[in-house]
Amino acid sequence: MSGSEEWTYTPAADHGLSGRVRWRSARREAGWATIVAGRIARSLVRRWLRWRYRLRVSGLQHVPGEVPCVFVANHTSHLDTLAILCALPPRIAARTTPLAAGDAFFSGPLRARLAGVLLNARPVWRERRAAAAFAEIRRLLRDRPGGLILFPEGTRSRDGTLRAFRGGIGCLVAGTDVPVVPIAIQGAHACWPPGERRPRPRADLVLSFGAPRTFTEAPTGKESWLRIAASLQADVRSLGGPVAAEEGEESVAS
Amino acid sequence: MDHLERLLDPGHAFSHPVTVGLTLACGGALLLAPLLIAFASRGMSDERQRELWLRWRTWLVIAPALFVPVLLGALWTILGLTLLAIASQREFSRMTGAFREGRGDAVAALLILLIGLGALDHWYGFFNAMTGLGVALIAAVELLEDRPRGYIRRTALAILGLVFFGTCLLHLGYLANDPDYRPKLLLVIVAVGLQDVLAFVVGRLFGKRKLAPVTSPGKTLEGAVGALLLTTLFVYLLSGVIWTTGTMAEASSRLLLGLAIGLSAQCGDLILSSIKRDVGVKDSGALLPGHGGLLDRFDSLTLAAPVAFHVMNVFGGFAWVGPGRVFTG
Repeated sequence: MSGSEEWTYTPAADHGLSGRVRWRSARREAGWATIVAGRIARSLVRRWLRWRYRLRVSGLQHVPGEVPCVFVANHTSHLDTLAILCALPPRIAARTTPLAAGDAFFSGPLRARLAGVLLNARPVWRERRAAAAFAEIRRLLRDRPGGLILFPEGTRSRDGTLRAFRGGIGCLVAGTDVPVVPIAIQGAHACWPPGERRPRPRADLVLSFGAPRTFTEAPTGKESWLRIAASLQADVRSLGGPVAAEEGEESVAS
Repeated sequence: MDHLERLLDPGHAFSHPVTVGLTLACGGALLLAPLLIAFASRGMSDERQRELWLRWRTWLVIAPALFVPVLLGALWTILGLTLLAIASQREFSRMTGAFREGRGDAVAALLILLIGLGALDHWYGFFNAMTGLGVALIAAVELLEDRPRGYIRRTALAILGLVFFGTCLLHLGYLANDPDYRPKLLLVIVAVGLQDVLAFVVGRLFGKRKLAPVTSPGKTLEGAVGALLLTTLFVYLLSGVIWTTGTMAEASSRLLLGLAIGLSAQCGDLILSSIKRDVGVKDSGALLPGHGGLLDRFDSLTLAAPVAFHVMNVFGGFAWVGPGRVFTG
């Protein structure tokens, strides 16, 4: 092919995987049908959250207009991921993947499809292989830019109070110019605490987005990662999440 | 025979001897296949044997999926083929990576649906127009991003998907508007399938020279010529039963139909091989266990569909009823 530029083709990363395996694969790439279905599904769920849980969102102007970006939030409920994805601008939500999912989303073929369409869920997070998982996520951020939702407490808080953020988030963003947006979620713990089978609208769901932070100059290393984690935790705390959770349902509804 | 009967009534499913014959022959072949596989697979490796059995099991699903809608009525035939066309276009997009340009990809799929609806409505003008308008629409939506880099490439890939699987393949759907479409449609489908099998068998028995070693190393010249001759004979004989009067009943027309189906089926096969080599994948997908993707199975039909349709049409092989436009009036 002298003198002319060759076309190159990159098949879908999940090429050759059959349906069942594909929906549980971290390599899954969505086509237009899945993306459109996801947008419609999220807009319906948003309406439902507004009506039934009186979802309110503030600080949306802090959400970057472009990916990659990382969202960190306090974690008290299964409602958290859903609420964040439904609150985000549709264009950003369509490119954003929750990392807290673990394997819970992929326990059955139907659930895997639902999680894939509604939440863009991909099983990138493996509790036991944290180091390998972080390498994979960094690669994902670089090769296929998208948004990530992270709950740096590591697990849902049983009593609704804010726990220390783990260093993983620091490891992910230290030395990069990826913006990190802190989010405080209020009311989710009251509506659907860990251990209950289904959510009940006992409080208003309030999401507060904070100003994005970047850690371009932060060095690599455990201490630096923990500093980043602590400063992001302070951001989330100052946005109000844990205070409200500690004071109980009454103040949340006000 | 009115449109409603053609679209929905399976009462006439077996009113033509060719329909009965082809259905019985394919059903019989599927039932006898285990004997053949057991006989032929002696000495093969375990893995190869497993693949043959897997392939047969998948055929048990594909064959009814093709025959049952055709027997039930034209509505199911056209809807089924439209679904096949959209699924094929999706596979093509994912294989080439064109699916990442969501707009063009979605427009191509939508236009394939419209072409299918045009066929269902028996409205040839609409059926035809959707290709030209589709090309224009794809070229236009690819402008929206204001990104000239890669414009030709992404537009061309979307258009190729539309034309291959919408325009070409759905000629089979339009064919179902003939009041006696069942034997004609099954003739095309079975002849194309037969030609695939014959090329393999004749090639195994007599194959010496490679047909296109770089594109598809397994195919031989002897297999291709033998399959072409036998497929032509098959079409020639059966079309003599389907058409008894008019130009299409003449020997020369029927010979031409056979040659055209045989040649276009082989080209379709080689086209997919070329596409796969160009992209660098082994199979077009993973939908059909043992076969690969949809396109690995239906590649030959894509090109044979418009060729067979137009040869039949030009020799007056169809008996279109009324002015068409069943639903839009």
